Amino acid sequence: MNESIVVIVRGVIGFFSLLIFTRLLGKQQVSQLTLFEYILGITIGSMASTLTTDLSSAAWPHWVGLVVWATLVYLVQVLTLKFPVISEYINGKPRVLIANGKILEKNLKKLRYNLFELLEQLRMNNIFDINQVEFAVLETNGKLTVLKKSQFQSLTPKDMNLSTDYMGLSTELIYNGVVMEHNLEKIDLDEKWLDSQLKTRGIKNPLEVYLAVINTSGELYIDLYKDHMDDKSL
Amino acid sequence: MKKVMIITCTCILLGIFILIMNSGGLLKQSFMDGDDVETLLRNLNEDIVESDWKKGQEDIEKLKDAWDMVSKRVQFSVERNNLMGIELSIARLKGSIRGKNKEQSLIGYEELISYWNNLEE
Repeated sequence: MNESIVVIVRGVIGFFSLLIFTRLLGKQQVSQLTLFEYILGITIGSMASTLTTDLSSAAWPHWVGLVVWATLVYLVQVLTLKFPVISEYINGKPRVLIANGKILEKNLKKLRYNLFELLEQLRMNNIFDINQVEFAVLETNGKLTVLKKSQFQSLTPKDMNLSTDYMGLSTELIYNGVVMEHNLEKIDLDEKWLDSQLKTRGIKNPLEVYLAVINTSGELYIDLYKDHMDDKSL
Repeated sequence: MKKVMIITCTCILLGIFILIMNSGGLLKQSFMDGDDVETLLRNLNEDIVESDWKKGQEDIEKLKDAWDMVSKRVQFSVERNNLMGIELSIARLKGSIRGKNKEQSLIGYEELISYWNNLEE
């Protein structure tokens, strides 16, 4: 038995199976996962690694286990989307920890959450004075959402009755020295225009450019490979 | 169209994986000269029953060579313990044939048959 070749083949099977299943299971980021989803992820990953390296058993049973767990996760996701009651049972529900500026000790106790963890989470929300907090809710993914008292909230242009311009998404025009023609077409521009813009900035060839993006106001941002900065000073 | 292509490729890929992981039963069959383990096992059984130790020694060598070819094909879908079991059974059988011990040879043969039959499970 050539163990290295077997591990390589089983590794390829495990890797791509996991890739396919995780793509099917949505695009939540780690920070958005609930505790249950986090543990599911670890279990499924552990099965894939066993499939790859545990040669004392055939790959097939591990792969079936992987499929069963991925299918169950998918079914639970579908059910939680359709029935909020099931979602609440599986993922729990957000809990208010501070209401009207007062800490709710009973809720802290229920969640086995101590005051220092609460203060730490507040600091992570850039709040160093608990007096500023009106409401704080512990979300199902373990993050604390905070509503500051109105007198401590940031001033917005709307508060000042100021009008603002539309700000959409920027479009990439050059990446890694390659001009993205389809993006230029999308915003009714052409390579000729881009060349002239580069020349006005003293750039002879798009190959010198690492990234060029244009925002909705028509402002061009260009980053060159040569930044003319001393790396040692950084 | 792009979506159909992605789904088709994904299904084909998963199909290939399933095939590789379940190919043991198919790949243990004979595909060329000298890799017919089934026939060699039958011949070996006859040699042991008839106590034809000279032919038995020739057949166990052929069986060893055949198994070396088959094991390379089935190694991706079977358990390592089964592969090692067959290797050990062949070695034990080789010894008992050389010692012309009919009783030990029959025990070794049955053990080998058992491992061989379990290979596809």
